[in-house]
Amino acid sequence: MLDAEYFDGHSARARRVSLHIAGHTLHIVGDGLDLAVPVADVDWPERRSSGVRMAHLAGGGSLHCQDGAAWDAWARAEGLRDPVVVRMQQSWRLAVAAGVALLVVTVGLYRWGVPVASRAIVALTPPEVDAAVGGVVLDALRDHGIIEPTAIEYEQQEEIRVAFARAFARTRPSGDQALVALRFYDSELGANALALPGGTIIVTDDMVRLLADREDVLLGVLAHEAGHVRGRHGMKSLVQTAFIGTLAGVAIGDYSVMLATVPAALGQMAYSRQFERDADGESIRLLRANGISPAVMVTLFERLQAARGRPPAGGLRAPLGIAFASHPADEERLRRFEQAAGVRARAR
Amino acid sequence: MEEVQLGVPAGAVQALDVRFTGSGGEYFRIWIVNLLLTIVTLGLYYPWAKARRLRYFCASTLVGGHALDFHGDPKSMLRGYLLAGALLAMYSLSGKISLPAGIVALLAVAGAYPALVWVALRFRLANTSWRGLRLRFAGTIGGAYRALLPAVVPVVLFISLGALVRQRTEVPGHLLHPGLALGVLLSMLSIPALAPLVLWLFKRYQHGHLALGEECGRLTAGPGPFYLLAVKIALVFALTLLLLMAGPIILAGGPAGYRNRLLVLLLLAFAYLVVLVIVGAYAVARLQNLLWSNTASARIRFGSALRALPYIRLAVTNLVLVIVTLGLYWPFAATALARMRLEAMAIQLDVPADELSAEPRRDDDATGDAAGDLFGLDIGF
Ligand SMILES: [Zn+2]
Repeated sequence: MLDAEYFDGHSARARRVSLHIAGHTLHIVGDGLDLAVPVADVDWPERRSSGVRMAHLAGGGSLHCQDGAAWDAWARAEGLRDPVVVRMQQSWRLAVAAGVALLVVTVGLYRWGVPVASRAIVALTPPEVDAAVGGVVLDALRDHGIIEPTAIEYEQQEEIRVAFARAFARTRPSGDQALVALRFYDSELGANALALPGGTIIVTDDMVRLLADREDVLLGVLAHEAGHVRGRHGMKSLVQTAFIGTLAGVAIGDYSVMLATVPAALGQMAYSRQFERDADGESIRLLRANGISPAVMVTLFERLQAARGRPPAGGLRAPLGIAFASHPADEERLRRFEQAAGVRARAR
Repeated sequence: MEEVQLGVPAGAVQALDVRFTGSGGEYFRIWIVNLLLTIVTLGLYYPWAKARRLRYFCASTLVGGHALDFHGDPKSMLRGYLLAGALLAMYSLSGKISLPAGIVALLAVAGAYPALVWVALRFRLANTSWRGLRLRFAGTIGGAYRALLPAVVPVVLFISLGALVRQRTEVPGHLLHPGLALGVLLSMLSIPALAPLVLWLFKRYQHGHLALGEECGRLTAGPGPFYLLAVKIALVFALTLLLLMAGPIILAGGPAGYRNRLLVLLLLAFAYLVVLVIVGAYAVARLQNLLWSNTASARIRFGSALRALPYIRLAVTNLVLVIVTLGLYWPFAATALARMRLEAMAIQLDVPADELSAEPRRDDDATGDAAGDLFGLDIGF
């Protein structure tokens, strides 16, 4: 038996009742009341260290008990069990364990979960979606005046297309084609190349001019962009940003919506570094297959830096496009091309 | 509360004190366990975590010795979050796709916003009870549109005109039409000029339709005090900015070497964060007093005497501790802030509480509550 207050939901008047459970029925008796309610229909309160216990009844009524300890003792005696979540919440040991598990799960999601999930989602997405997104981005770039009609002669464009198609075919013994379309544009982005989802690669006039005398380097750049297309990196980064943004928003959005955008930004930076490594790998593969030393790419970084006068800030970023020259020109990437060249030299 | 004079016999007046009994340690455990469950389920557990949090805070809030209670059903909240999430995803995607699509989406969200606010208010109040009586939000959807129209129009106007100007100026040699330039300027200036009025209109709508049984609240303050408060907040902002940022800025301009630049930058960012927290806490405290000291129904009067300085001190201490503990102090901070805010409240009934009664309740959809949360709309009672 437990003393409690009963409220019927229509009046604020408290009625003093006593509770007991017989079988699967809760009996509420006193102050002119004699109710029998199935135990399963009651929304029982969770145990807490102090304070009121309030149970919700199906018809809008509720039971209040000011003496939390008495309620807990009664509930235990009547055979009501705490859910697992409540047992965890009420134990410091289990709560700290939950904290450690949270850390492990977060790191795991960040390192493997989100990339794997976005890979799966992108794999399930029909390629037509990539093409549609790429088309929309291309239109947006044109509408905003970021890209304008090229000044490169058609013959030169075709030369580059043919050279790339030939070089690419050498990386594929089966002889399948690179499913990319090279498009040339004059652009305020400077010497740059962008891979759009769906296979369009934008090459700026400045990039063609920068490497006019170095077709080998230009092939490396195009192979890098083709790597982004093949890996569907644009689509993946779209899905990953949405993923992390949603998770962070749900996890810490209650505290600060502004703070919740930080993990998405950081995550995107980390993942795009991985995309660059993959794309550089494609570049190295194509150069090697064509008997070109990957070390030629050093020329690109040198010329880009000279053209700008300072290391690129990475501030100009086209929406969704992965622009070659907008990457932080890190030492790491340079070293990789040099190392790839060194390994090859020794192998020879 | 002191200035409240009541023309009824003293015997009928009942003062209800507000106490908050939540504990930081317990809320920490609830928070971390539910955060784990939310992350492990990729967010699907969030409505259950949120309902549990609201139930904990409500049950910890005693009004005249009786706790508030939260009745929201996590399953209907989940439906609401999914719908709101879909809306938000559509909005952010269309913004990335193109300018016209972005503007259309902005107009759609702006058009739906008052309705979402209305649903959120209804859901939250209809699922909060005291002594078994559900609260109610008696406002109409049309009222929400009327109250929020002055907020939506200048923002939409400014963004659309701004986009138009950007398009025009991209053509070389094209001179900006003076009328268009004036429109942009006026719509831009109207946003801060209208902000206190907008807040007043919204709060009048919100507090004017808080209902419990036959009792329905009314906000007795006019827009004047809101403008005065806005001026005070601006002054506090300017003053704290001057006081707190001067040090780091002088340091930044001094002979600090390249190595120290990062440190100076961090110091500047921290100082600015402190400024924001101070101004935010000041605004919260003063607004709470302004709102609740001027809210009353026929037989219920509210009052609030939250002192700004202690509240600011608490908020700044919390900020430092949250940073130092990498966020782990957050549940302790949340309970401490809630305690100070709630215990500054006072409620007076001109009628014995037993005589209050509720109208029959209606079931409400959680969509609005969920949308309100995702769109950064915090509705606390
Ligand atoms: Zn790249």
